[in-house]
Amino acid sequence: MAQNDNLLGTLDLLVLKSLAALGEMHGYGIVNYVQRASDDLLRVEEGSLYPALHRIEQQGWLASEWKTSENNRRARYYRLTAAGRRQLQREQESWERVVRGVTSVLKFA
Amino acid sequence: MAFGRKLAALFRSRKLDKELDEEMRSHLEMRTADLVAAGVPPEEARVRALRAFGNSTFIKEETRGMDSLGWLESFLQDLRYGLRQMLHNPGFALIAVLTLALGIGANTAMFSVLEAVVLRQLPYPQPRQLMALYEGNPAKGFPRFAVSPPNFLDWQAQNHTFSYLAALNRESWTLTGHGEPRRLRTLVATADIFHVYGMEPALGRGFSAEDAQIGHQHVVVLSHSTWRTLFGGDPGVLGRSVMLEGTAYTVIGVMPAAFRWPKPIDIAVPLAFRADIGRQRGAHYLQVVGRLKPGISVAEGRNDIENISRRLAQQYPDNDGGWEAVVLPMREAMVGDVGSALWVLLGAVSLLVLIACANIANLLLARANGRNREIAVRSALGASRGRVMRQLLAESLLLAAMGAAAGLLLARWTLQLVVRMGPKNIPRLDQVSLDGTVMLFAVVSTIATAFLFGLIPAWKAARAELVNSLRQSGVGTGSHDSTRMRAALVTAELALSLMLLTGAGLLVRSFARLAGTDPGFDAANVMTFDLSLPGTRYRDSGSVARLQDSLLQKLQAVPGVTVAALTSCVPMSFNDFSSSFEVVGAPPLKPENQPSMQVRVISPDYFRSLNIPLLRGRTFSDADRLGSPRVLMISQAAARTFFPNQDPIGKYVKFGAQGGYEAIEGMIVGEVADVRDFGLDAPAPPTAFAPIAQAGWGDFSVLVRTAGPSAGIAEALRSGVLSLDRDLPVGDISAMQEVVAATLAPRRFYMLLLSLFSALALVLAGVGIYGVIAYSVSQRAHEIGIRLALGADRRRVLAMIVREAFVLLALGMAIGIAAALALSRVLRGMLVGVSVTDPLTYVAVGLVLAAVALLACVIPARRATRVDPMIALRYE
Repeated sequence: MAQNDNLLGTLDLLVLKSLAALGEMHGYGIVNYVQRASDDLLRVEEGSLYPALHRIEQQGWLASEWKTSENNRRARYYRLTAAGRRQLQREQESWERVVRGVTSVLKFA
Repeated sequence: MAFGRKLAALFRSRKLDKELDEEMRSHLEMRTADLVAAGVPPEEARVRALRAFGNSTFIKEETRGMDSLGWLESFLQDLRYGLRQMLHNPGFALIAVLTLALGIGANTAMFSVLEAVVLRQLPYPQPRQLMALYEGNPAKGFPRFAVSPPNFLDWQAQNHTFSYLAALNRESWTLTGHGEPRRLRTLVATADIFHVYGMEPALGRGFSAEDAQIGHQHVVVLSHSTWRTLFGGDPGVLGRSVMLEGTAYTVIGVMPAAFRWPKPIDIAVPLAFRADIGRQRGAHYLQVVGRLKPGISVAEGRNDIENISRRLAQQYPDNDGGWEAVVLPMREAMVGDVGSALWVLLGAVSLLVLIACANIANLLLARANGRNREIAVRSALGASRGRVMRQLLAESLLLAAMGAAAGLLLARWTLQLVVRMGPKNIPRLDQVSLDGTVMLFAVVSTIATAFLFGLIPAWKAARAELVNSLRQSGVGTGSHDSTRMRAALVTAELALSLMLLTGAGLLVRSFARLAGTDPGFDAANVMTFDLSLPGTRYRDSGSVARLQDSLLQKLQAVPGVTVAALTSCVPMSFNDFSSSFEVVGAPPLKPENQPSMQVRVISPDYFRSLNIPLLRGRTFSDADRLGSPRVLMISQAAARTFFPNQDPIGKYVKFGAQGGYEAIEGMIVGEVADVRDFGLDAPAPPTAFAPIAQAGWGDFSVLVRTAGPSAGIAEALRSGVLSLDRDLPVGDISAMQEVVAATLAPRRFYMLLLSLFSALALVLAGVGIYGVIAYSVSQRAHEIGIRLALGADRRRVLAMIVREAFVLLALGMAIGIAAALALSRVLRGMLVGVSVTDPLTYVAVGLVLAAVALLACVIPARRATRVDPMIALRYE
């Protein structure tokens, strides 16, 4: 499943977008959401997720707090900060540019 | 932002680790639960969840790595590791920390003295604008002298560069009618004095221009402490009247608590010039201070005043010819030559720090040999050279910091001692403190020290041959390289110690020579105190003489007193009074060409009280009174200088200046031996003596010689004085020996400090050479064992080891002597009667150092000869 990380920064984008959609979620929930939303095409490697979450939080784009999950389990819930929302906007735009570019190249052939 | 969060993370790392564990566990539990819900058996569900998750330790490190600040974290790690290392080897750590504490402590203490005395700005607004102004007459031997009132007034009126100029005198005034009579340190100053210092009274007002007019000058400003002690801090004191010198003065102001006069002052009163002051152009007795206008440089201010002074010299050649203005920044004027001495001492203590560093570097090098394998293993596991050096330097820094902490305690304690024991003539010594500047200095010197002693060992350790170190068996032979390095360090230590010892030796020689100088009088068993008869009650020579007569009778009657005498000022008190004079019958001279000499006014028994021998003629007697023919005596120096190859007896001399009610003149009737009145390091000044009974002199000192040491006599003297006049305050009663010792106090202080530093240096150098030889012996135990087994003479083995030390010693001494010769020039100003290349000092110091060094190496060398060949050979 490592192929999902081929494009650097994709993981950050996925995490940010998932949290934008979910509002507030723990790490396991994010893994599940990405898998579901991508129709099983993408799977977040769990080993990379936590370092990424930590790094993004250090940047100030995420906030987290400990809560009890729906099944009565303590888990750390993440949500976007205002800065995170702006960052998502930026990353989404840059991603779309990359996709447009790559697509044009592919079509040109 | 991210930096701040990372820094915060650093300090919460344990908590963050725990949180991460919990977060990952909850993730696994959720996955397992989902799998179980999907029908997977619990055991397998757990295995599958773990597999999906991957290596959790790796993830943890990866995640926490996001927090790390790289260098800082590894630095803290290194410090923790260093601390563990120290606990493993507490002996080494203790020696290193103590050595450093000594070095950094002494250095910090010395710096704080320098900072407070020399470097610190004066505690007034815009301190750089403050100047001290003098007049000098180099031809007459007064490079810096007091200013005459008319010249001061002309400077004040004509200058363009000073906002304010003020003239002042420090006097001792008597306060009466307020409990016991008291002497108050009194500043008599012109009106602008408060503007010059930029400080106004906290209560009331300063002097106005009107206060400085004759007839209006009876107002007084109290210093804060006087206000507190004499008036209980009563705010209603303004407008109150106090009796000073028998005259009523009105209190008009109280200075702020934070304000300090440059020298301690109890009260300030206005200096009012008489209308005919213009006639006193030749009377130099004022100190002048000034504040430059903003933006004016010292040079501009100096030029301005010097120009005025030159014009005055042309205008009044009789009085101002030969005199020139001297303008100095006030701080410079205050600190004087104390500054250069303190810089020399700071330099000396820095040498001590270098020696301490060399010693610790040596210890570290020796220890590095034991740690070769540890470092090789680290390198083998991928630590870069830089990383290894960083680690070792962190350890050095830790040592230095602990040394500095201990050193600051030492410095604090030392400073209290210095302030208590330090000579009073060093200005501002009482203001020494471990303030922010000093702390900054301590921190910087700590870091510098850590690098000084840590860099070479760390560099060497990091470059160690990896493979060899790993292959080597437990006991290393120590690379040749590092042995050479240690020898070089010890050589440097020896050279530095020699330099310090030489400096100390020179100061000790100079001091011994001074202390052995005959002052020209016998101070043992003589006590002295000052008296001042207020002019309001002792209005003429007759009343002054009557009191002095009965005072002498009274004191003579005190049990234990053998001689009582009076003098206008005691030797070495530096309250000198000099005057120009003319010899009646000699061809008249212009005023500026008239010679001048010191004048002392004395009672007949003065010479007997101090055991000053009479050389020619007679001394004064009770018959030399008011109304009888005027007489004078002179000192040998005066006879030699002013009456060469003639008999001075019978010459009639008239002095220009007048200190009492009567002019000073008379026929010379006797000649006495010289007295070193200006200190043991200055030649005896030519001096004339006049009988106090003919001078009407009301400000004088009493001298009392006792049969032996006499403790309780002070009270008897005091009550004797008070029984004659209840309103006559008796100042401090001090022993003449203390007065003499005080003139030597700064030199004694410098000598003691430098001797202390060099003694410490000697100990450190001894320890250093001991360490190197002992280490070399332990490394060569095997070789020595073989030599002994093959029949070598034990004496020859001993000689072999000592020779090794001797080479280091000879080299160190050669370098040290060369450096000492080059550097001792800085001591020139502190030496009297000893040349900076004094051969005796160099030889003595060399012998002392050689003795200590050889002693330090004989101990381990003897151990070497006692090596049991069998044990030495079996080793390995």
